[in-house]
Amino acid sequence: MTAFSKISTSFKPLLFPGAKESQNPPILGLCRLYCVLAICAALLISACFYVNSWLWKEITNAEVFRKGLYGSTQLSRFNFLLNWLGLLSLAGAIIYGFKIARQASIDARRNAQLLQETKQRTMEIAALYATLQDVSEKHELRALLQTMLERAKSLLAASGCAIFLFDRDHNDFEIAVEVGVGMPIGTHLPRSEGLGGRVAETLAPVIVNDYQTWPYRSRVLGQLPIRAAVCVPMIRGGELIGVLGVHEVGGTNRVFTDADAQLLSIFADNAAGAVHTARLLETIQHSEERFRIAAQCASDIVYDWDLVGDHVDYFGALFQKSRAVLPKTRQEYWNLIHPDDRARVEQALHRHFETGTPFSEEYRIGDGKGVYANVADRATAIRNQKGNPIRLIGSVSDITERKHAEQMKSDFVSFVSHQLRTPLSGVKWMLELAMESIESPEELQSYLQDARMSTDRLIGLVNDLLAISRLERGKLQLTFRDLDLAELTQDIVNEITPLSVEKEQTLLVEAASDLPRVNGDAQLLRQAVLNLVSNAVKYTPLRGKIHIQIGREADRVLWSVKDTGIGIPRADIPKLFSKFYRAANVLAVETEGTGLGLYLVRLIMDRLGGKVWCESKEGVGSKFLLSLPPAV
Amino acid sequence: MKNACILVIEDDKFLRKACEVSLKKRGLTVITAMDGEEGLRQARANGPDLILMDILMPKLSGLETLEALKKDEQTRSIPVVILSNSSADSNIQKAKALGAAGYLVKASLSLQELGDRVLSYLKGESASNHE
Repeated sequence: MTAFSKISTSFKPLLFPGAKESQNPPILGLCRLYCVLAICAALLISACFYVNSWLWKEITNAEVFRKGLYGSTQLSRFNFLLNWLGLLSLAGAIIYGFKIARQASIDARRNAQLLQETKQRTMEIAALYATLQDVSEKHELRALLQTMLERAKSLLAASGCAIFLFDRDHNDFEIAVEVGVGMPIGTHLPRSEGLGGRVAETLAPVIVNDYQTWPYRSRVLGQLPIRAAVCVPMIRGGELIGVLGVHEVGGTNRVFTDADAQLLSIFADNAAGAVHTARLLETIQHSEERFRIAAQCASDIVYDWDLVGDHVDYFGALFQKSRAVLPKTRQEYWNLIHPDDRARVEQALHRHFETGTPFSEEYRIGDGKGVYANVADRATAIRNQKGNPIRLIGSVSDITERKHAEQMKSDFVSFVSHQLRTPLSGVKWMLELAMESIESPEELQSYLQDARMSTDRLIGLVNDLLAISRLERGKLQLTFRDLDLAELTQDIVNEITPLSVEKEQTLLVEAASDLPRVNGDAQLLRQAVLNLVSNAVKYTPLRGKIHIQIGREADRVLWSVKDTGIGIPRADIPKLFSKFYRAANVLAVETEGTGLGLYLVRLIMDRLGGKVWCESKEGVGSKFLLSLPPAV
Repeated sequence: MKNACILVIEDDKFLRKACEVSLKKRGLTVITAMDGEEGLRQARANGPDLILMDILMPKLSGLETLEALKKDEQTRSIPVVILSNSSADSNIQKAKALGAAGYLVKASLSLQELGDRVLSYLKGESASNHE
């Protein structure tokens, strides 16, 4: 509606150029005068006729005729006067009649001309209105500019049109769209140059009807065959958005008028708003796109919480995966946070709202079914003009795995440091006691022995840990060669024999004669065998039996150690080869184990392409088996 | 105080032996336990004057044992000194919170120093008994 009233006020000067308001046209005056004269003439002549007829009656009276008094009576003189007056009036009336006719015809001609012009203007206005309708419907910038181009061109019935957009960043004009003379689209023109420059400076329309000789013509565009041009500014809210120009090429005689400039101005004024909006929309779309791509790439869930309306929107790839779980209102969200963490998070958020301290908290959040995940939440509040927070935008990452890994690492570190420190303290104290008992050789011997055993334990532990660490990270330097498993086993058994003798155990090794060699790293294989054999000795009581068998089975080499030890509870068997795992019943025998021995064996077997497993019965004994591919 | 009875709860046999020998040399009576459960049993049965206890133990951990000791009427008043190899702050805090009388780190103590500390804890106790 405002547009329409704007249009109508703009158009009044077009419809009535140079007209003065409420002026009585001259023909009215003429008509009045004519009426007066005509009435006078009519009155006088009719009076004259009346007097004449009365006189005629008198004339017929013979006396008057005989005396020849016709011409001398007063009445006849009066009649004479009336006659002449009447004739004068008549003449006047006739003259004015002609004047009226002439004026009328002049007026008629002028009216016809005005009507023609009005029709023309009305058509132009209709076209303009249609154009603006058209333009206001287009929101996409390029389409909008293209439409404007065509409409402006047809509005002025010219051969070319161009729109330059003002680039605020570079303070110059960009040739956005053009038709007619082939301007280089996308080129930037300095703000001060050419027609655009003049318009930008004056913020008023500029007409140049002889462009080629115009001293201020643009260097870039001066080469083009532009003969005449009219250019108007597009202003919105007091700011220059760009300029709109219509041009005529050489070879035509068209001259642009003020009326043309005015028409174009009206068009430009109304189109400026649309252009501004379209540009804003473009910027917003770019932003949105960038944001969406970023949110997709991030492995976080991005959220946008409307604090006023209490509604949360989520974005991001992670969100799309876990759609079902996320709460829609802030209260729901609070409820899902682990009760122990709630107060802290709430406080941190409050602090952020009050003082702007960055909000970055790690907490646990549940899925409503008691399972909690660790998340890291970083957010920033967006404030209104009063400084009150109205929106909170943040991202949430799932750090459960990281926390878990951190926890495991921390547990491992404290476990290892404890496991290492224990034998070290043992050595230290034993040596201290040894120093105090120098006088007593027996005691001295015992303490030194204990110190040595502690040291051995320490060395064993360190070796295990190093091997595991390297195997886990795949950093071990291995030398694969063909090995004789029987020979290797015998070596180990020889090492272990003192211990088994001490426990009065029977240790037997049985190897098949046609045993094929196996391909592997000697050191690793030794470690595996050692761990299994020493376990057997350790967990078998006094006078127990340990039987090692090595043979082939199908296409594999099978190695096994069977003992009559404490066995393994059924519940522990599945987890036996896990890191740090110790079965429930080993503590009765030995509290010093690390739970790493079997884990290491498993790692080694994986690396060598073999397998390890266990058969056991609690209280009866255990059998551990290794299977390896034979060397080719 | 001489002839006071110390209960040593420690799962490592060398450390246990070392404590026992060293404290006996100082003239104290020493009883030992291999884990928390056995420690509780011994504490209830023999009513020692001081308990030295490790934290990281199989079955019942040191902290759990400490809690049990303090809950039990019989053993509540016996001062418990944690003898651990963990210097982790969290453990120290937890032990103090549960009522441990002291916290010692094995790796930084010699047996001599350990003996001295035990004696001073005992003296402190008798001093407070005399108040």
